[in-house]
Amino acid sequence: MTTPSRDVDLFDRVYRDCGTAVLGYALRRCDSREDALDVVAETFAIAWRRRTDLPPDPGEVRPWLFGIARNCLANSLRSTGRAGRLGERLAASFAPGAVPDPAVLHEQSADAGRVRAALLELSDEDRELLTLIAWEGLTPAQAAAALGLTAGTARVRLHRARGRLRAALAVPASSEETSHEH
Amino acid sequence: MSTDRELDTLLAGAAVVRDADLPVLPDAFLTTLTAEEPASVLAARQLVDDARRSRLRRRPSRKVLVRVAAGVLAVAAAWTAAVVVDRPDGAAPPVAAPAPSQVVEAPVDGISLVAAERATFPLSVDPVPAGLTATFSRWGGVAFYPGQPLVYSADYSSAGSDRFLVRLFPDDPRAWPDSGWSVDGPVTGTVTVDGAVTEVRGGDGYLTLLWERPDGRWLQVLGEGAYGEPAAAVAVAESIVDRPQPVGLQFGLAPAGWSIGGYEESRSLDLVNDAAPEQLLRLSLIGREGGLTVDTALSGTELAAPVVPVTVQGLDGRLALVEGYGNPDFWNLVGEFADGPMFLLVAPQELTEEQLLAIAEQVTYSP
Repeated sequence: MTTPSRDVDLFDRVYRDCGTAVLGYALRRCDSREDALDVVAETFAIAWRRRTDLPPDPGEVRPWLFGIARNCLANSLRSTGRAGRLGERLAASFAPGAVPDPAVLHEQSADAGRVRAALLELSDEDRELLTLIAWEGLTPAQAAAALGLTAGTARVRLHRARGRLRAALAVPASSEETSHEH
Repeated sequence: MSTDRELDTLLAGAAVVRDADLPVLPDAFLTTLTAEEPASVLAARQLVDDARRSRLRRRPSRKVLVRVAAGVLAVAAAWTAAVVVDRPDGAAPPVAAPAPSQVVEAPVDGISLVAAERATFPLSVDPVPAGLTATFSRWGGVAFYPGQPLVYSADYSSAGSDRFLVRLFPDDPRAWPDSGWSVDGPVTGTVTVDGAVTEVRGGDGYLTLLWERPDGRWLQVLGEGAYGEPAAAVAVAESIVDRPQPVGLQFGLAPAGWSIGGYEESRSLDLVNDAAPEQLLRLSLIGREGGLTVDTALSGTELAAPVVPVTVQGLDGRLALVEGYGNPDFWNLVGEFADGPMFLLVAPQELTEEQLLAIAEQVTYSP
């Protein structure tokens, strides 16, 4: 276990090293900039409170943070209430225009819209498994950790999720895709 | 043909936001997060929160149509034991939960809680093939989701790659402007399901069937793995019967005049107010990823009042009023099912604390 001052130093380093990754995670999944900033603010507020649990291994920190962020995404009715003060403080800390608005970006690509619509046909966990790897660049093992799965279970689900996404996109699988892990 | 790498490239293009284009988080916010508050400030804030919470109990609802009376609910029968854990300030009165299956009447001008409508999926597959587990979803069809038609979806999945979906549409989904229901690919053939001409779409390892029922609604079967073959998919289609089946989560009590608003993969369930469609009560399952517990599930949430330890279904829970900041404040209640997952109730402030606890006491989950 780390000492309190080391916890603070570690948290500082995690905030600076991983903050942009958490911001990107939230912007890719929220409908508005304000919702995304709420998620980021809540994520780091929780991470601060739980800083004694911060993984010392740098390769484990982002999955840990994304696991918290995922719960922050799920745990409020954002359409009816804003997480509020912390999110607003974070927003006020940025220079104007520094954070893009996902609502605008989502409208700019028809192909992206088609893929996003197909993703919505998947289960929440399948979608998160695919996007943690494709968007956040996690390895399957890291994505498994973020979702509380074993690496073996994640590999099976990833194969299945890709198949479902292909079906939703009406994109046939390649003959190179071979093994079915059960 | 699409390899995994090609599929990931497609996915990457849909990200629309790249980390490389984003700013670093501001140091000023780090300071906000990590600043320690003096004890006197914390004490003063606690006093303000307690006073505000006291005012909230007496304040009439902001909604004209739904008014909540102050004070304790009157009940038709004996209470179960009051089991609220003492609050840290030691000043809390016990909050009792009603006995199961009771009609909980508020004073004349308040909300009544009545036996909840059972959430069901309108169709069954008979027989259910061995090795498949079903989850159920229902979207749209209520004023809370304006313009979204009512769609039911059942997902029968195996531990491997064999899976089929059954979807019920109110009319022909091919005619909808949003064609996100796997109906925009080329038709590769037709088959007959229960005498109805059925379009077949598909590719390597997957297949969809779409046909119109005699009642004018449309059914779709999507098959993968073993169910991606026409014979197996048709067999599934012909085994569908008009027999409702329960979904996993259920409310036992609901506000009078509220109806099922939707459910998602058997892991969340909504009730919506028929008279005020913007009001929603949501029950959802919470994962334990990252070691989340009942005690930490509300961490980081901006609260209008301190978290209150409560007991729900005999287990520890947490109740909090969440700050709305320009929108109405709303309740969060975290509980646990015995030997099961945690759950979260999100409810409008028009429901009293006692009502929310009564509702929480009667939610159930069957995986």
